[in-house]
Amino acid sequence: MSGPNYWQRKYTRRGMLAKGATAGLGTAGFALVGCGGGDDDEEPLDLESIPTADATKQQEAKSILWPREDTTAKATKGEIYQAYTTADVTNLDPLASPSFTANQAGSWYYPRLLSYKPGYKVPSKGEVQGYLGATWEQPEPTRVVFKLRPNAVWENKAPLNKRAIDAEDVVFSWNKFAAQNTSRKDLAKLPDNPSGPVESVKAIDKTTVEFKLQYPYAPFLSAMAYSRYLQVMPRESDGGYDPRNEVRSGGPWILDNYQRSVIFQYRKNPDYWDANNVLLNGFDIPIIPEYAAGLAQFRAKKVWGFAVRQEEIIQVKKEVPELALDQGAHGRTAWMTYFGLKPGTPFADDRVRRAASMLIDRDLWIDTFYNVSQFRTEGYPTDVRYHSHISAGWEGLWVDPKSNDMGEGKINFTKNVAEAKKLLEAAGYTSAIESEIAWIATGQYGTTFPKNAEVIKGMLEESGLFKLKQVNPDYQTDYLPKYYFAKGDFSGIAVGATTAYPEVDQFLNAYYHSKGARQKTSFQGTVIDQKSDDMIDAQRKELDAGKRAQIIKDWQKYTATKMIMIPYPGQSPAFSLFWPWIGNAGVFRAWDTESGRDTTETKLWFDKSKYTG
Amino acid sequence: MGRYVTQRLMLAGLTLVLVSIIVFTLLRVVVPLVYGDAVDIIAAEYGGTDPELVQQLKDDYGLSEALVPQYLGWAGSILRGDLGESLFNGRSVTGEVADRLPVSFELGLVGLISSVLFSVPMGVAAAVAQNRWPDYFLRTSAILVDSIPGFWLAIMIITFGSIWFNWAPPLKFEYLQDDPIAHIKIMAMPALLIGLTPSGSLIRLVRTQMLEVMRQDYIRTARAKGLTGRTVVFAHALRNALLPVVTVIGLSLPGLVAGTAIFESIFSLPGMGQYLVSSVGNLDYPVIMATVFIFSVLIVLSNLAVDVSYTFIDPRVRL
Repeated sequence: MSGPNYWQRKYTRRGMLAKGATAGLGTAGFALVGCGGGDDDEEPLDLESIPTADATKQQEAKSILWPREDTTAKATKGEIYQAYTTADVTNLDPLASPSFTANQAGSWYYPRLLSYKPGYKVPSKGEVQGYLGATWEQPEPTRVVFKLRPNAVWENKAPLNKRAIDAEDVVFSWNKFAAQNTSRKDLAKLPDNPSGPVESVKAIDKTTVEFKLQYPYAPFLSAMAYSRYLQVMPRESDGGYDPRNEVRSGGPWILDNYQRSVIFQYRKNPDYWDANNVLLNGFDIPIIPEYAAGLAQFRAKKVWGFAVRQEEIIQVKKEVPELALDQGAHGRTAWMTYFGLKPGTPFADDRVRRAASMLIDRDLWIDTFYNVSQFRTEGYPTDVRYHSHISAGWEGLWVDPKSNDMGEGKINFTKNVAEAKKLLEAAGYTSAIESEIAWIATGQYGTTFPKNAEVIKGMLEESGLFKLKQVNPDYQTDYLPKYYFAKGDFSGIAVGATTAYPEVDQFLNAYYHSKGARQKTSFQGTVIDQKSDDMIDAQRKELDAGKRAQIIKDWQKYTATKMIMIPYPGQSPAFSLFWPWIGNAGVFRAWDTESGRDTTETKLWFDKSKYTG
Repeated sequence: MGRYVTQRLMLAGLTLVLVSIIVFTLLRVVVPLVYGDAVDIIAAEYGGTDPELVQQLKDDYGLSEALVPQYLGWAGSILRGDLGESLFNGRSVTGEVADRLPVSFELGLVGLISSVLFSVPMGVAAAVAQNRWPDYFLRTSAILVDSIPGFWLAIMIITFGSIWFNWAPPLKFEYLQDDPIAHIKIMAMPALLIGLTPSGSLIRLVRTQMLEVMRQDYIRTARAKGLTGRTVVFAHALRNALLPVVTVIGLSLPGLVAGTAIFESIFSLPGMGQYLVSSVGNLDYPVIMATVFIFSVLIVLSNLAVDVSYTFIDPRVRL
């Protein structure tokens, strides 16, 4: 980085590091910047006020961006793409694994009924297209019938040996999903989940399968395209081979080799029904858990793309100018700060939660983690958005918290210490609220996450209205059972990640509905917001897209007044770096990365003319 | 010596039984009390704390029985060479260990050998040149080596290797029997870095021991007999100075093998360290119990090997 950003300047000035409030963030850069007086009434950062580069520089920066040229016409087939990942998978069974990592791996080899249509040079809109299901129809709102591809077969490996993929495979997979999958309650109607939308699945004939819904469920087709739900596995996975450690592919890629802790090697499936249109021969995906080691491999051209941290993008691009730079779309995950809601806790009072939200300097946080001011200064395009209670990436559904469309809840998204103080006094708190704030300090949510949380803690404490004790629970043994799945049955505040659902209903239902699998808004049934529940129920049953969008917008406006959780402050579209010999990079843009194995990875190719490795 | 070794082996067996009881108690009694059970974690991942689901998982994983039969079953399996199966992927722990232990062992052993080959001559040189510039230089270097964490050095080498020389370590692991050249290319760097970690202490230890021995009467006698300095140092002094050094070296091997996790992570190596770390995160009992037990066996055997080696280094020692 060329210099410390505003957040660093500000917090150094205020002696935040000296107070220990941001322990772990200290770097040489913090120590080098100037010091001086400061007070709590200082104006919050306004990113819009940061001057942008002049027109010439903007033009220069824009010309550096990857042109996203469709080179399919001149593509040559063959070669192995050199990718990477950061972790092993728990096991290879996407329907029965306790971890999402198995779904990520499964998306390479197990097909789904539908797939997300990729965007062409622009972000995908999340519309669905056929995958294993060639066609589908909805003869009535609660019945969906899929016709499977007649030429779809399983991998040529015992005991499948190119057997046709049939409707019984789908039924088998659904039953396994409903019995064993971690996300089964998002979809399946079960004795302990009576509101699940899918009532039953049955095979009509060899290539026809019918889904019976218990009510019209608007996001159903999207759910069938989502890799963390129904991946179709062969019936023979029940006894014919060990699906936790072996794979029989029905999709575009076969798992040729998996050396635990070392590498995944996927190869083109010659028996895939659309194999002729798969350009690469495969993907080598070594496991590189260390960021520095990964960056070194990237610089040495041994991996072709790497998730370079936003604060290092400009520096790395300057050091290695031949790297391609592309800008992504707004992400659709909104992580959150949520609260213990036991009766008697301060956070059961919405005034306390709203006050906490008013202490977050959103622009400052976004600038810190998205490096916005530097990108602007350098002339790169930025588009800063605050998250509402859904992510700012949900185009057409998201209500801008900075706009008047947010209604009376808008005030809760604006930093206002004086107003927060008044709210707390009205709630009966005249001195600092002492509590705990928990987040995981390990790498499950990425290396930046602990810093995200530390800054939120710092902002809450800065005003003197909260005095928070930091707790770093172990992810598996402590965080998941005692915070994430605890339904508000804990003390204090927690900062955590959310699942990147491809449909907003799944997010609303899982996290905000009082009966959701990951709900955080009620404590053992004593704190239920019936109005919020009703709105969530209504939108999932509304098949008219316009009306549904309006319900979701109304829900955001309503939830903003309650601030049942504090969404992550916001985001700006991230930049990425990769080597320019990846043909068609950025042209076909997946709705979510792990669901694009059949739509985007199949269209990449190795452009030897640009290779310098 | 045969009787001594037999006695030590019997004692080692008893030690391992005690270790197995402690490991089992810690993981199956203490950890569930403090943190929760593995099945609770799995149930939580499935999005609920349904008692039926928890019970079903316990039945599936053989965790429903009373603790004593569970322990006896586990201990019996170990005696049969069966270390159980991972709770999370059903893979045989014995198979995983068979694949991974040689990698970690090789890393630790090559690291140790390189450390000895590097440290002993340096320590001797420092002692011979006591209080002269080679001694100052070597002592300062030893302190420097001691102060620099090996993993940090590894990251620096990889980072600047890529920036300056467009170099990065190989990404695909090859076993020695499959491709010896590729294997050496992969293992050399991490093994040398692992060996660097104890080198600082070893240099200083060798120097101290050499200085002590060099002041002994028999060294003076040897010099008085007209033996060359080289003969005095290497034939008379070094052998006696090495006795405590051998102890330290022998006991550091299990530590080196068990402490390879960070290097395995940086260099993408399929060793025991990564296996243990990932299983601890999941509370994967069979894997944790097996790996901890194996490390215990290594420590016990290393102790035994060190004791036995005394007889070869110092003829005065009779076992």
